[in-house]
Amino acid sequence: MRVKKLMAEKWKYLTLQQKLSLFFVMTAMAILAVNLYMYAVLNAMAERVEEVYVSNVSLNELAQALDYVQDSMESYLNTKSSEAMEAYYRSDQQYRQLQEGLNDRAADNEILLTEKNIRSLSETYLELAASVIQAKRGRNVERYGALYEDARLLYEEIHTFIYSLNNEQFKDNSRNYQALMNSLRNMELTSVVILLLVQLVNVSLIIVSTRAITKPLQHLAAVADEVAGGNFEVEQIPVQSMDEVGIVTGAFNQMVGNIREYICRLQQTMERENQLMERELMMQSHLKDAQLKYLQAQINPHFLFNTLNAGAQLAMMEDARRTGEFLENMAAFFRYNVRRNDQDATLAEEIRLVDNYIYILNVRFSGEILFSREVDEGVLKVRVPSMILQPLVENAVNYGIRNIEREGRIELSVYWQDGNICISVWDNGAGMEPERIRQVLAGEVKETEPGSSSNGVGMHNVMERLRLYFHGRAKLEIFSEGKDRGTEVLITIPGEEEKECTE
Amino acid sequence: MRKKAMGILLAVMTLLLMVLFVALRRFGQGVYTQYQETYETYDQHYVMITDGEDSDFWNTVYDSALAEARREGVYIERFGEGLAVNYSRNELLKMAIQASVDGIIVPGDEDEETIALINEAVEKGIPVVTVLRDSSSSLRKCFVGNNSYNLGQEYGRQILEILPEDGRKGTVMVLVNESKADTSQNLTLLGIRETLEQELGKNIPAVESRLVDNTGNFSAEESIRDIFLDPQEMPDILLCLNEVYTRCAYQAAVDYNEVGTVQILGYYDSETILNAVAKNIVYSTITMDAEQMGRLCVQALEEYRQTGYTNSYMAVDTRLIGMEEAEKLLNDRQGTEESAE
Repeated sequence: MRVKKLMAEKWKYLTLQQKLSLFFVMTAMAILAVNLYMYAVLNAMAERVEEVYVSNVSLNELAQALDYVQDSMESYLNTKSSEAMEAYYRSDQQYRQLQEGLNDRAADNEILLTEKNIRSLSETYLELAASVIQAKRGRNVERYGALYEDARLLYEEIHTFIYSLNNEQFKDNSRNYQALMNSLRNMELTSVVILLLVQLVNVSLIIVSTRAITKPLQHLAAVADEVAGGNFEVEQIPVQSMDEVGIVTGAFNQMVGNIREYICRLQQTMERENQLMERELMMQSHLKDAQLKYLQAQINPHFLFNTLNAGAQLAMMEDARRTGEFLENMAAFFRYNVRRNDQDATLAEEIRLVDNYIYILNVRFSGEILFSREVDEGVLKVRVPSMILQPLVENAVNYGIRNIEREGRIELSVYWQDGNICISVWDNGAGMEPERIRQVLAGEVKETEPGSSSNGVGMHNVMERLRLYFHGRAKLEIFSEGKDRGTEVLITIPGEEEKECTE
Repeated sequence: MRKKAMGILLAVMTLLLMVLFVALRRFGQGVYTQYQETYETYDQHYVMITDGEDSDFWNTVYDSALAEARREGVYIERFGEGLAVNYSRNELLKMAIQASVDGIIVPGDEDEETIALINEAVEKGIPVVTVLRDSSSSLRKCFVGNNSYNLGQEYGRQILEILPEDGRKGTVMVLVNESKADTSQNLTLLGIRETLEQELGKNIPAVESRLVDNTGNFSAEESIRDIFLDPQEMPDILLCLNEVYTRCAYQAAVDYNEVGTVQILGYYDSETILNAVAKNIVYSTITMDAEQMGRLCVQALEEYRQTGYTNSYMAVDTRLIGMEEAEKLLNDRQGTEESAE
């Protein structure tokens, strides 16, 4: 169990190449082992097959040796030569050696028994042969003749025995050979079957092992594909081994985690920024509101008091119709101011306010101001920010015609031009230097200086409100030909506003 | 899951390899044992030499002798059996002596050469037991067989049974071995004649002995057929003194459609002969207990080897088998064969 665990642990840390090599080497070794073993067994059997006919061969040798004995004996009998004698002894020796190898015990095996008989007969024969030689040497003709005949007969009989034994052994050997060949064939068949089986198991092993190696890779690929498709909400891939795939899987897991975290942080940041922007926008609008309110509130309360003082004086002096009219205008003027403090208004209302204002001024300054207006009836309903005409007229009164000796004139004209609505306030008063115009347009002139009789809604204020209201598409221009040559303030607003409003 | 599969595969592979090793080992060993025939060795080597006729009778004798010998730790070889050349009995006898065996069992006769050989063997210290036929004048240690005269008496009684009561006429032909040295045949013939004479007085039917040519390998069969081919020669009773003659006579009687006209008296109880008796083609057969014979031969040799002497005659039982008994014997043998299966 511990070994298994240890092996599993070792396995975990092998690289892909090592794992694959291990598998292939293992399977190859298995096949090799089977082959080698089969080869060894087959070889051993083949050797045994070779041995099968060895006994026949040795029997043939025995028969040859016997022939040699008989021949040499005959030769000696014929010639009585010492060569023949020598040959006889040699052959006798050889034959004795050979017959030593034969069985000499009674056995219930035909072959062994025949061997025993051959051995016994051979001994008798050799003795006989020796006697023959002895008799020949002793020139005992009668005796050696008889003995030779006996020896010859025995020689033939031994041959018969050897021949028969040879036959028997051959039959036996052939049987053995057949049996050997049969089992050889059987073994070959078995070997092939087992080899095939082993190969089959090997293939399965390779398939399973390669799958074990590639499966995490496939899993990784699938998950990577999913991530590539944009889905970062994938589960962590379990890391099963510490090979390359394991490392890549770990890295991938970490990468996906990091990306996810990064995206999360990015989303949070964006949300925060959005909130910030929203707040900023709201603040801006609030600011605009505040600015408007503030600008509208900048109208000088001194003026109100002065006017009310004038009205009161008039009422005290006469208690007449004109006073009433005057107060009516005053009321209208202030009502407008109060009502329109934070809203836009139609041009008609603005023009009426200018009328009221001029009336009040004319009452104040006993008809000094000649006011005329020329208004295109089609534009009366166009909506503009409130309190933009009156400050222009007020400026024209205060800076244009107030300090001139001649009769002061103010002209208001509203008309269409090139799809735009032009609102022009002209006076014949003091006029302006171009430098002064630039300063006014740039807002560099503080209009609400303390002690000034302006009601506070100065040029800059009007310009700002026009810009905010028309998103910068309105235009305010000041024209003057120089000192004492009058001033014209021209406001151009986009005409489509009118259409939108009239709809 | 994968690990499990891998483990299983590895286990299967190991198993396969083990099976392979065991199987191949087994194969190798099987072949080896096949190649190396098993055998036992014995202290003594006896030989049994029989006539050229390779009959069931001698097989039975040999088998029982071998069984008995094995019990005694001796092996008996059927000498000359596996040889490429068919040697005569005497040649084989001589070879056995030259091969210095430990004991010889041989059917004897009164031939001089045979007697000389037997004597030579005994002089060289090889005890000789004659079987079935004796060489009474030799130095043989023992004769195992029946009394030929008694056998003749038994045949005589059978002849009397066959011969018609009234006339008691007819011819009896006894098939005898060509070998003149076989005196036992004469004793048998004497037994027959004397039995007939005892019963019928001087007026006995002709009992002629017919020599069967034994010289060639198949000459016995030819000479027996010759009898059937010559109607003049055809006897009423044909008496066969050995198993081969009985079979030949039986086959010839069937072939020449002489069943009934000639009564055959047979010898031995091989299945063929028993069948013939059961079908009444052969009138009756006399058998010797071949197993007993084989046993006794070995016992005689062993007794001599151990004690230095033995009975010079051991009698073997004879038995007459008629039709009914033949049937019974056949049934018995079938029964034992089936039970053996």
